[in-house]
Amino acid sequence: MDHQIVISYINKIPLLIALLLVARNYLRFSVELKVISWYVFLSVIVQFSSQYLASQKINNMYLLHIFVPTSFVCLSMFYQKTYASFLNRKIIWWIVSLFVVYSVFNSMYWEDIKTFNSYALSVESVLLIIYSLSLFALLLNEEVRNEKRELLSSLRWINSGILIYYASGLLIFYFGDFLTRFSFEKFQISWLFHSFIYIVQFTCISIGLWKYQKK
Amino acid sequence: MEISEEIDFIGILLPLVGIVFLIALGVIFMYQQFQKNIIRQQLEREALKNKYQKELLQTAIRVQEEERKRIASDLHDELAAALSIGYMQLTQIEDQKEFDAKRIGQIRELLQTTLTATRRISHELMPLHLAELGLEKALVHLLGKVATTQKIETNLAVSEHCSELSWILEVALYRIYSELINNTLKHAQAATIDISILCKSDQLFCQFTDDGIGLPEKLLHKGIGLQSIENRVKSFEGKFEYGNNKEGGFYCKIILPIENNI
Repeated sequence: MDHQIVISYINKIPLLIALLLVARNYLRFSVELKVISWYVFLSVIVQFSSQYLASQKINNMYLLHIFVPTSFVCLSMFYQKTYASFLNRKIIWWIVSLFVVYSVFNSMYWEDIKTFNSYALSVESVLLIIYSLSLFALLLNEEVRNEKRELLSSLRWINSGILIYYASGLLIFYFGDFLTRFSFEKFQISWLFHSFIYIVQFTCISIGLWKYQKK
Repeated sequence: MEISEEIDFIGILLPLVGIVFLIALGVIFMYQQFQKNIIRQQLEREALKNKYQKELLQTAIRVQEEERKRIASDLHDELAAALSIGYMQLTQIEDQKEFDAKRIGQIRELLQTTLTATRRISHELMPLHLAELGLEKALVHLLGKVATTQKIETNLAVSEHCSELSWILEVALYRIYSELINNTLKHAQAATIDISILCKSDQLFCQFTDDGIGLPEKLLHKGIGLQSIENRVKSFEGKFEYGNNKEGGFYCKIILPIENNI
């Protein structure tokens, strides 16, 4: 139990560092990084609220049902701003709209609001993996690299963080429903791994934000 | 062993294969969209570049034609007219078959005027002062001429080391300043013209300002004179900027690389 508490504190350190960088430099950030700042802000609120609810022994799973569509909107906006003129805006807006509708239906009819919403998380992960791999493919183009010269390093770090978290997390989310059928300890081990990739994600995002600030 | 029995391989792994397949399809779709947009943007840029080059070429041709027209008009109105009068007078003397000192004096005067006109046209085509004394002296002469014919104060500042410019660069700068001075005299109602030329390491900084009424809004997007200046500057890979000063009046800044143009 102590072990779990320590990890729950450790995984907030990179999140708080990212928040600090956002608070210091938000006005100086480019529009892409401003959108990522919203994602950081949202994650902080959800993390601390869920921590508080857990300490009060109140089920906090419904926060995840809110976090999944909202975080997807933020990250989609980040990719939309990054792809900019290289992708028709409507494509991202269609994906976002369909996902939000799906996510709401999922919480209403398929996965109870008090349970882990593994389906929505899995779909979100698939879409974000597509976004991030596509961004890496886009950044292979020299013209695009020249256009994004100032942001390039930050984009690479942030995109890496998102890819590592959602690609690794996809299996946990996909098997989430299945894992809950095992013993509680095995479920905890999978969430230990989740904490690790969460730390990696926000470390990468913090480095990305810091790289921009350095410039 | 127990666990593996519980896992329904087909039920769990097949959707996972489907997910990976979907991710691959998604990335391929996005990549194709990117490529399509990148190619479209490249084509648009090329079209814009071609349009710009076409405009530059058209302006160059137009400027050349205007210049030819002016020379033709000068030759026709001044030289041809004077020479045909002289020719007629000589024919009349020939017909009279007697020595008419008054007429010969008139013809001499006419030839003198024609000679002066020829010199003027020739100097306008290639200023003598520029060819013999260099840019600074040629500009001093030009501004001196302006000051004697118009009520306008002129100031010229040329830094050191500007005497080693290439001939072609000097001619271009002379033409540019002539055009700018001409514009000011025609339209600006200015009381002062300031010209400065600064040679600094490998660049030449040229500035022209007047304290007139400035360019009207509709002319801020290049008349033929300004376009021809821009063409000249572009041909030297230089930078050209112009507009109205906040305090009033017109300004023009030109930066030319010296190394490429020596």
